[in-house]
Amino acid sequence: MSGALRLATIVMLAAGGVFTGGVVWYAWERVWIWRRLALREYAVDFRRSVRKADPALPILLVTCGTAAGAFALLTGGTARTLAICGIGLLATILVSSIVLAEPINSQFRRRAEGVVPPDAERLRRRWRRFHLVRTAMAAFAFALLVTAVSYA
Amino acid sequence: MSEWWAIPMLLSGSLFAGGVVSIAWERIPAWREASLTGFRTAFGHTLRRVDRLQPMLLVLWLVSTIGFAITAGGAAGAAAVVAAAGLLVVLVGSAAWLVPVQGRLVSRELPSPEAERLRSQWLRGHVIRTVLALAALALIVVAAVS
Repeated sequence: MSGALRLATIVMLAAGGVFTGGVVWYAWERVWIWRRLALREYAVDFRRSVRKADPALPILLVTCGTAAGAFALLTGGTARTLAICGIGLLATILVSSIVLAEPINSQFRRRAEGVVPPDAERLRRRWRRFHLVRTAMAAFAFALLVTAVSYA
Repeated sequence: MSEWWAIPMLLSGSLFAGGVVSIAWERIPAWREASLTGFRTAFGHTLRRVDRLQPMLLVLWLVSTIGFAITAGGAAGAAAVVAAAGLLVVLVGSAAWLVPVQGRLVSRELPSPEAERLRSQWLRGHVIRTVLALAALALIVVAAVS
């Protein structure tokens, strides 16, 4: 393995690993708790949580995707095919997060703390469903990237 | 042969490390600012979920890292041995130090100064655990590509 490929692989696995662990944690812990909170409590907690997660998780996702792109360029055969499939899933997560989740996030973020947006229950349900799908895609993408490394 | 250990090692390690990083990044600032009553309620909710998953992931990570270290040899094996030692510290430290603190925080009526002291202790302990988990993740990633 060349130095450039090794570096790309390390960055891809480290950033992708923390990203995947993070979205799985949200699905396992926060989503379960948010489902049980009253709407006002949910609005406060969700808004605070989004403010913390928003810069970190997208940065990890883009870092992983970029490193995976370099990995795909520097390898061939099965490793490249698996990496390209993983990148496709990561790109789908990124675009769908901007298109579907971000409008929901901003409904809570742009209001003062504790103010519940109109139709908040529907927004909560929609965000939860979206996040569970995003989590499954992230876990699958990371599994593909890890398997790709074993073929490199 | 070591690839068979590398895949579960990387998957379980990432899920565990990502989980503890998320708690350190997202929950700890919220818990630091919360009132003691609010903190103990929220902390109890989190424990109910996290305690079902994180110990299992940590044990899986430790076992697969040991398996990888045995089968890989060389620099990769040495990095995995150091990672496994770090994970053992996390496991023993969590069981001996943080789990008793958690139990006291959620199950008893504590005087405020004592609860405040335990909250600080748990948050400090979790940050240490997070740093160790991230270092172990970095080591296993390097080991897997060596």
